[in-house]
Amino acid sequence: MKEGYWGKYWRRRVSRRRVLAGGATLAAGSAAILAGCGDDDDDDDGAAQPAATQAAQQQAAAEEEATEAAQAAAEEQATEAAQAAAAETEDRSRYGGTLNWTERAYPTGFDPAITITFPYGMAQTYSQMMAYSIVNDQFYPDAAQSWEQVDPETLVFNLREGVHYNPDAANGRAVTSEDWAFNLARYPDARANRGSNVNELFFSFMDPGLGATFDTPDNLTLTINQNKAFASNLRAFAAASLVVAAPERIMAEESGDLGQVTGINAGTGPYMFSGVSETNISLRRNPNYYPHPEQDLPGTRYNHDMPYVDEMEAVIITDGAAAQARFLAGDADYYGGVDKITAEQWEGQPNVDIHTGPAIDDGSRMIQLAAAKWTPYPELSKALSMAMDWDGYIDVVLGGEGRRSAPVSPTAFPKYALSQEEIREHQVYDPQGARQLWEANNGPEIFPELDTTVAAWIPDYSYVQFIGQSFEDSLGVKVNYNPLELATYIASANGPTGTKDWHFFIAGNNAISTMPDWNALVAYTPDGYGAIWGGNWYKGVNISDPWVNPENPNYAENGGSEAGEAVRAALEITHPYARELQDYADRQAATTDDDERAEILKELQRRIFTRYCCTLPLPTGTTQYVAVGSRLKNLPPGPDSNQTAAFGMFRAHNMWLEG
Amino acid sequence: MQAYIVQRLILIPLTIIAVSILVFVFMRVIPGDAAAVRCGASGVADQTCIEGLRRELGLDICDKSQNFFGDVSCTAEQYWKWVSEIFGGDFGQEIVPPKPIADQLWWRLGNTLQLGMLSIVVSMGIGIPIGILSAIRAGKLSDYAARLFAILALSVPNFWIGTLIVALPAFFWQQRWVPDWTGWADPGTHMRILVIAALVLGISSAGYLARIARSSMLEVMRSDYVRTARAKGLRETIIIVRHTFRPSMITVFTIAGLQFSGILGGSVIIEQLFTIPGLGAWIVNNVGDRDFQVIQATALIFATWFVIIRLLVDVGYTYIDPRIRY
Repeated sequence: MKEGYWGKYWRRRVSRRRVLAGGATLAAGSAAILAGCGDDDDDDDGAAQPAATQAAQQQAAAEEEATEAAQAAAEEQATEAAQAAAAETEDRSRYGGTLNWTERAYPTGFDPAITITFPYGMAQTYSQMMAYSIVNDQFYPDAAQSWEQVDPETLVFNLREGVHYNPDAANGRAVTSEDWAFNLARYPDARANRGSNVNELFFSFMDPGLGATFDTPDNLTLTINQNKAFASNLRAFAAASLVVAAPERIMAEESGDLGQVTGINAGTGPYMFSGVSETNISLRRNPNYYPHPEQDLPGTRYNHDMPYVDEMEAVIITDGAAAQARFLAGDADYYGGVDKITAEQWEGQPNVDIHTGPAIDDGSRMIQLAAAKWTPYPELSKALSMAMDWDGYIDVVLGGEGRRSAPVSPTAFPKYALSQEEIREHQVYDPQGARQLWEANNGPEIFPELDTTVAAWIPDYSYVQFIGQSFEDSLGVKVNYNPLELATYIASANGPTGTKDWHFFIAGNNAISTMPDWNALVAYTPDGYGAIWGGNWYKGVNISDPWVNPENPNYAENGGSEAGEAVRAALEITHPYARELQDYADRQAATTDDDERAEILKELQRRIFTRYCCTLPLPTGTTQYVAVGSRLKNLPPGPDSNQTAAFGMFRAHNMWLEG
Repeated sequence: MQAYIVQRLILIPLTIIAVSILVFVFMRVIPGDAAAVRCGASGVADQTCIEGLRRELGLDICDKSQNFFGDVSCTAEQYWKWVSEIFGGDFGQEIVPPKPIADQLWWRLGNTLQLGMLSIVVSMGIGIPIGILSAIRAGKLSDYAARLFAILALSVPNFWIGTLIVALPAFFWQQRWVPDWTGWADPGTHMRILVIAALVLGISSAGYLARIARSSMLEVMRSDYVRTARAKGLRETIIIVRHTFRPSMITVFTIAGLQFSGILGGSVIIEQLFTIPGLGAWIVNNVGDRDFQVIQATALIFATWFVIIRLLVDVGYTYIDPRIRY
């Protein structure tokens, strides 16, 4: 529902700044009036006693001083009030407008616990416990007022009073700690019902199936008794995907999730869905949105009452050229991260602002090797690493502006990151040596050709071709490229180990910036307890069970099949190395000593580099370029600007639209 | 004539049934599985999800079949279930977004039909006059110009022209000639999108029609009866309008009818580029998702469309040339 004309004035009346400004003006006026009405003693009797005269003089001087002080204070207050009023006027002028962006595909679902293809929409319609700024390395209260890590396995949240669902969700009732407990318990479990492997990785520390419990002594207190220590737990609660949804809305769905319902309103976020069609998704303000009194915290991106922008609209355009045209013509206010070459091309476009900042490795790329195929042959995966022209990649693909990358981002976590020198020692380009190693270990027989998949919706996959060309030139192996559409591409990447129809593909890394251990597990563990690319384990159970466990009721159908054999063989190979990485991850998550944690994380990275399997991190740009429309102002700076899992672009309330 | 039409009307459902069988079988032969794609796309590729969705989509029905005859019998059962549901107006459920296919099918068909019709108007409205002009002015400068147009229109791919129309104004002048889709809620914008898309889609067909119209006209103009008409002293305009135009249009009309189906194929790319929510864009998105129900439904609609157009073209012959008898 749009804010009415009078609604704006009503909102003006009750805004905190306006009250402050009015109060200041009133105080200044009162002081001035009082000063003007002060008693004047100049007509005192001259026959008064000397002592009395002295006292009178002292009193007069004191009164004069008081008057001057009052006048100065009044002037100062008047100036402050004028400034506050001017700021208020300027502030009010920022409210309004529709922030428009382009989605490249219809979301695969609308359940925050499951959806991975509509993060901006999820971030706007739901609320998380807190927000996080990478720039300031600080947490900011959101749905939680405060929190306390009582011990490594006990986390207490004091929920904010006055957080209500939007009017279409649970009749707009207040959120309770029971609601949070319901949602948190569901997160790790949602995977069993079309959830995400990532959930298990992020949230297994509070998985009731693994022993975690939730206490709700009152409506505003939630105690999480974790099943294990997890050093990144607070960062997990700052993720835009870990939110509260109305339990009754979830329970009302036949499928037990919200993924089957388009545009369902079940959240407490600043916006709610107002229209969902095949061509666009619209959001309007949630009238029940709660205030954020901590707006004055340094670095906060919240306004006191609500975001400046009135409405949001995502238009679904699958064609890349059409999406770019829409942005360049000024019809979209946000485009997102672009590479250096595109940034240079777009620099100077009237409707475009390019924001730059230190790259945080979000969106950086990695050569992902199919674990089952490469784990048995560490020398061959090492040959791949030696065959890759790392510096050439920086020169050609990154426009000469890049650095080597590792599982932990040096921008976000300098303490936990490996130095560039050390990474270079691990990533050496040696084509002759690579060919010798490849041939000496039967590479041509084991891998006569290499297959890779490319994202068909991205018009330029020259970066994949550069890598393929490096392999072809150095190793003499033919590389085949298989373009796939979005859903097929992800499905192909996510297929159980042993069924993947590629040897390598270039994966994007989207979460390194907020959780140092997340990336190490998700992207680099071939067979971890939730590793997205090779995920086979869930709650200690192999999800490929029907293929490998003779006692599984579906084993008869799958176990004897060719795929079953492949899965079984793959797991036997990948599992030991996966457990090794998992042990590192668990150790660093359990320690309370930050120095010790840094050392374990570095050890973990060194192990990944020396094992050459199953991920080879590609160099990444040193500068992050984010393209936004020129009317979008006050974009979060630097690394925060393009983050969805942090205190970033679509969770910053104090951006506004000019004009 | 009536008997012929009845005969053709009987053949239409048979043709459609044959197409439906082919589409149904091919969708089960190609690699990939809607359930695996759907589960994979949401971050999961485990058996719980895949098996649940396969059950939901009815893909598990034939999984127990162990031999060729069992497979055939089971697939036939699936096919029959699908066809019977279609007769009941139920085309199934789209996977993403999870909505009944019938809800979108007719709406999208309407958009594609509008684009197709306009493209035909563009194609015939430009191609035939240019072809006639080229034939009448054969060997002159205007003939060469017309032939150059035809060659250019034929050889430049329409998706390339479309990309330029979409991208260049935005880059150089910050304008979009093709704005966001509004439908008939904004008739001006709606027509603007459709006309530009139809121009792009119809221009290559216009080039082809111009060449066919020219050669057909020239052939007729060189025939004995035209020579006789000239010998009788008839004016050139009357010769062209009354004696040459209609007979030469039989070939043109045939080609135009065939091109209509070609335009449908072209709409697959053009709709994507111009963000027109039609059947073409729909089928492209759902091929990627392996959404077999949508693909089957749209293929069936395309086939039905094609055979109806063919029938109309055949019947139209008799109007253009009364000498034709069926």
